Order: sequence, then structure tokens, then C-alpha cells
Amino acid sequence: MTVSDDDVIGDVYAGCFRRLVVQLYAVTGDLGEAQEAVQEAFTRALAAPRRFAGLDNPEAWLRRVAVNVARSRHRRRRVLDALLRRIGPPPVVADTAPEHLALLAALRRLPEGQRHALALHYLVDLPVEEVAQTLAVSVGTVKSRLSRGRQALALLLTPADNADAATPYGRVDVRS
Amino acid sequence: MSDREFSGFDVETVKDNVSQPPLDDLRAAAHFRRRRRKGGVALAVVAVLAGVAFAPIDRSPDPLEFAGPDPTGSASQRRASELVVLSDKAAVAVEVAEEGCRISFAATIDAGRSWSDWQAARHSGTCTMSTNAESLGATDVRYSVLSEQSYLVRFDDELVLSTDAGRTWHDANSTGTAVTAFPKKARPVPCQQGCGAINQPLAVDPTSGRVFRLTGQPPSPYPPYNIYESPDGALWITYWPGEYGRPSVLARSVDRGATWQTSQAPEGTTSIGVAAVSGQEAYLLTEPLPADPNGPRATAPSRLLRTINGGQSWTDVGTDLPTTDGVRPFTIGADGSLMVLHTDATPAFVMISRDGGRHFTKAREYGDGRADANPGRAWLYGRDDQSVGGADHVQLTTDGSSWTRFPLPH
Repeated sequence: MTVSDDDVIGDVYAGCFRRLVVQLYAVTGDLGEAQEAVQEAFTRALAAPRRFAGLDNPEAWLRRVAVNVARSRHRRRRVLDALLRRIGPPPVVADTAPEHLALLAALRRLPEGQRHALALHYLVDLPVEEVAQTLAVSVGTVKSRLSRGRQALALLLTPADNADAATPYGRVDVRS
Repeated sequence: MSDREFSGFDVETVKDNVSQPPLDDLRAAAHFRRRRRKGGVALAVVAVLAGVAFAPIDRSPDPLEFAGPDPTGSASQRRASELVVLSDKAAVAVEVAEEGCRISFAATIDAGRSWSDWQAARHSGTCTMSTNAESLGATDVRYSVLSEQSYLVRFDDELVLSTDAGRTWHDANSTGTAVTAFPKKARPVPCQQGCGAINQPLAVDPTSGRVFRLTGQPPSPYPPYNIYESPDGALWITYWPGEYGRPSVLARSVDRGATWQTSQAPEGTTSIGVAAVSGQEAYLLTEPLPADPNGPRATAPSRLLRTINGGQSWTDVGTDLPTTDGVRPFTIGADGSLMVLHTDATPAFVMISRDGGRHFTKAREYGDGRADANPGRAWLYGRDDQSVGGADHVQLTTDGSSWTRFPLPH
């Protein structure tokens, strides 16, 4: 029995779509942006189904495309927002728990490289090697970003006057 | 639990909030994009194949109303693939489904506040869906919105027309009135980027939906690629060149199609769009031809040409518009500004020139990477609701400065 290119995409879509959106949500902190980016990745796959069906790891390809789409959209929007002197709409969040909101707020204050590495490794459990592949950087770079990002995040999530007290947003643990 | 987890991020909670649209929605978007891209990149090559395969619209005397499945439905349940804006209030949404085999239409006359039900084009033959990226072996389906109530769809060589907003469909070869010049009350149909199902200039009576075609000798044996009516009623057309590497033929009529003056685009260019200020003044947007039609795109810049003598001579305005291998809708706004839409990027964006095309600046970027234009208007597609594929509104402008939100069937 042969499997058509369309069947391959259908199977990947059924099995990976939600997982990819969760991963992109971790990266962007915006559920709308995450869904847009993943849908765009699948649309590109559908535009060249034979090439997609021949990939060794289609999910990794989709993740990388989606991350690139999200980055590109974010940068363009930021430039345009600055040019038009406007504040964009607030991000769509998937969870309104205080510690979730606090975590996203803290992540947004980190440099992009650190934020993406932390999100993919700590939030959605991707191995360092896959994070490196997704972000198109070396494993060493990812480890470095994780180390610096973890320290920065810990500082951001800890109140300056009392490190042991609960934050106004709730307590967030960072484990390594 | 993983020892790498943050306690503020629960994967299952996030996953529960993810909406997964049907894959068919994305398939339709991919299909639409492929067709648009093919139309832009392979203009000259496809012209050779397509140019000889069209037939006059008024061949058979017996109208035929097709029976068959009637896949209509409430417009609010489905998403449009494309919008054709006809006026400030009137527009027709087109839904492309089943890999391009089902083309449905819904119309509005109140700026999108309410929509008619979807009406699908019906024809007597079969339609084969494409099963590969190149669409090889698939039925060649093209469509054109002629007016609020007149739609034309081609399934390979079978051309069907509806003049009652899609409720009934007829063999287009038997429908339409042959005239030596379009009547004053009839509205010429503009088109861009290959003109869809249109293979000759057409006009429509907006009241009755009646379609007119011209009886005279056409300026070119090939189908039109762009048709643009200037505000003073002159018609400007670029035709498929017919052979790779040949420049396009341009034609202009100031008497509603009774007579035509022709000229030629410069050698070594592909004509992307024509937009006209009047019967005397028009702009022709061209891209350089690559040395090899299947090779990398040419790196020479785009060229924007202008005529002020009805197309007798064209001068290069020296535009700073970068070249692209994508499709570029092109129009002139109500205030005289030139608007070129870029659809290769996400989001799509509008480049605007207010100095006759020498300098273009980005006026606005928006939405999901798609954009369209017709004479005097441009629009960018956007989506607020992520749970379903496809756009749910457009942002519409007539000058690149002020924008109006126009909801799609949603």
C-alpha cells in the first residue's frame, strides 16, 4: 500500500498541530500569533506536498518554519508600530493563572535569543539539540543562552526586597 | 513531571485552548497561493499554452441551465478565499474549495454587514482535483466576478456564466450580447493578474446583469492579462505576449471598445500591470525577464513606464520600486497616488507613490499575506478569528492613507 503526499500531511496535521501551537505559544507568548505561524507553516507544506512528504523529520521542519514566520511577523510589526507610534493589541493568552501571566511578562523582558531558547527547552521540553536546530544556532549557543536566560529570568521573577515572599503575580519556580 | 518545567506553564491548559481549523481550509489557501504565484511567475510561458485555447462567448444559440448538486449554504458558516470589491458598498466574496473544483460566490451591497447565501458554480463536466504541487492532471478552473450578480467560471474549456448571483448557470458561449461598442450604461469589467476566466473585454449592465462582448477584431489574438478603465472611461489592456521573451501588446480604446490603438511594451520586460489616469495618461509596471524562464529571477530593477499621449510613446519614470517574482496588484488611487501591493510577504503590504512613481514608500502592512486591487481601490486581507482558516475581513483604501474595515462572510 502506498501513502500519498496528502495522507502524509493529513497525518502530521492531526498528530502535531496542537503540539506545535503550544511550542510556538511558548516562543511568542501570544496564542493568536502561534496559531497563525503554525497554520502558515502547514500552508507552505501544502504548497509543496511532495517535498514535504520526503522530509526526514517533518515536525522539526514545520517548527522551524513556524518560528521563522513568528519572528519575521514580530519584527515587522514592531517596526511598523514604532513608525506609526502605536501600541499593538494585547497578546492572546491561553491561561489566565497569575503565575502564567507573570512568567510570560518576565519572558517578554528577555532578549529574543534567550527567550526563545528558554521557551523551547524549559516550557515545552525540547532537547537542547532540537532547540539548536529550530533556532538555527549551535548547541553551545543554546546552552549559553539557557544559562544566561535562566539567571535573568530568576531575577525578574524574584521581588527585589524579599526573595522569599510570594510575588504579586504568584510564585514561579525555575528549575535547572 | 519533567525537571525542566516552569510551574507557570501548563502544556495541557494551553493545548485545551488551541483551535485546530480543518486542513481543507489550509489546503484552499495553499491552492489559491499556488495559482496566484503561477500566474505571476510563469506569465509568459503559460501564455503560449493558454493563449490559443479560448473561445468566443457567444457561439451557441441555445441556453442550457445545468442541473446537479447545489452546494449552497449560509455565508456565515464558510470563509472566503477572495474578495472582489466593486464599489464602496458592493462586493462579491469567492470561496475556492475542494482543491479548486468548487467555486462559490456570496454578495453584499451594504459593505459586508449582510451577505447573500453562497451559490456554487454548476457545470456539466467533471472536475479533477490536483494531487500534486504542480497541479498537473487537474482541471484548469478559473473564475471572474463581472458584477454584483454576474459571475463567469471556466472548467477547462467549459465556460459557465450566471447573471442572477449564482442561482442559475448557463453555457457562457450562448450567453452575452455582441455589440460594436459597450453601451454607456454598461460597466467594463476590470481584471488583473491574468484575468481569470475572462478571455476578451466584457461589460455588464449593473441593473440586469446582462453581459456584453465586442464584435470587432481584437487588438491581439491572445487573452488579456490586465484590463483597466480610467475615470474618464478609456479602456487600457495588456495582452498575454503569446511567446516567451516577447513584450506585451498594449491596447487603448477611448470609444468604449469600438476602435483600439495598440503599442508594445519595451523588449526584455514582462508587463505586470497597467493603471490609467485618463485616455491620455497611463502607467505600465514591468519586471525584467530572467535569462532562463526556469532559472533564477532577474536582478534588474522593476521599470515603471508612463505615457501622456495615449500610449504612442512611453518613458521610464526611474522608479525605486524593487523587483519581485511575485504577483503585484497595481492601481491608481482616488487622489492620483500609485499603489503597488506586495503579496509575497506575510503580512502583505502596500507601496505608495505620490510623485508619479519615482519614489515608493510602504503605506501599510497588514494581515495574512494577501492583497488585491481594482481601479481606484486596494485591499489587504486579515483574520481576527484564528479558529478557522481564511480571512474574515479586509482593510480597504482608495488613497493609501485612510482605511475602512470591510467584513467578509464570517
